[in-house]
Amino acid sequence: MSQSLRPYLDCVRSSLTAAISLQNFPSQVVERHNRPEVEANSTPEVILNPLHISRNEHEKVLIEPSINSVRVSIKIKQADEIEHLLVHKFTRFLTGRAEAFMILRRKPVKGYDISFLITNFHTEQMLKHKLVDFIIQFMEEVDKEISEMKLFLNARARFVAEAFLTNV
Amino acid sequence: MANVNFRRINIDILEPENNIAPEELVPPSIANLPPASVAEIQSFGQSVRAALSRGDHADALAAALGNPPYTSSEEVKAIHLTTILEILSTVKSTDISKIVEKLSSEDRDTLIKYLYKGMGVPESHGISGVLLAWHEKVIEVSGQGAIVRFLSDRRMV
Repeated sequence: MSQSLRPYLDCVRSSLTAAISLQNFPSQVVERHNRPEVEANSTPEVILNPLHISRNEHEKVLIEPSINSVRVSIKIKQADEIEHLLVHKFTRFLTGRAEAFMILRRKPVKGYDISFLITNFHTEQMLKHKLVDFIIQFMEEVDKEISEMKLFLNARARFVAEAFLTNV
Repeated sequence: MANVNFRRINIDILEPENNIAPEELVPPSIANLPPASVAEIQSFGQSVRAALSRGDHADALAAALGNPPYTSSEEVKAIHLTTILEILSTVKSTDISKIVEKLSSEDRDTLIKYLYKGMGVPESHGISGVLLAWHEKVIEVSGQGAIVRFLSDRRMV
């Protein structure tokens, strides 16, 4: 892991661990409803201060906690247009299968590439430190994955161009 | 009546008991603080910068964190944030832990507020690495509790 990535991930890890302290909380507005308060946004007193964490202008995390849910949004590094396209396709692939990932949100928060929504039901079913580990691991892997895909794409483009132009 | 889509009206909003005004969320401990004016906060920033040029980093930071403009306008808060970010970025990375240990625990909690706020504004993207280093050191000293206190604190900087 590079030297500047470690403090960033450490900061995200400690912030997430603090933010995922959730409890069951039925809606105060509608009887017998139980909604993630950060999404419903109908009772301002149960929504906590959002945490902004940034490494540079391309890599940011936004954690929006509330009493029974936490929304974690990640902006993935995009240095050029190819990476922009790859990130778009990759996140679309994941969000299209959101129900398989449990905590994935179907639509990212504006300004970010991918969002997770963790509710108290998730923390009851799953271990909290494993959830935090999952998000940290996702952030580590996704950069690697994107740069790997970019290399593969370039190699393929070179091969195609060569094959095409030898016949001319 | 025909052109009003009555099924779309959110009747829960009309119930006065369900609504809490933003003013009611301000804790009573700071509700009566007088808001600082732009001129005041700028002269305060100047005095902090004077301490900074004497090499008095720890004192400058403690003074700046000592009275944050909780009840002031966004403009005043932004000026104070720039002052604090300036102090944070001038401290050498080897001195950070020494200065953090010298701060009182309340000042450390205020520092956490400014770190998270600083990372949220686009002007500070150049010094994000410095802010992350400060964050790491503060968490080392005051632990996770500092973040939890930040989350639930309505005294916004």
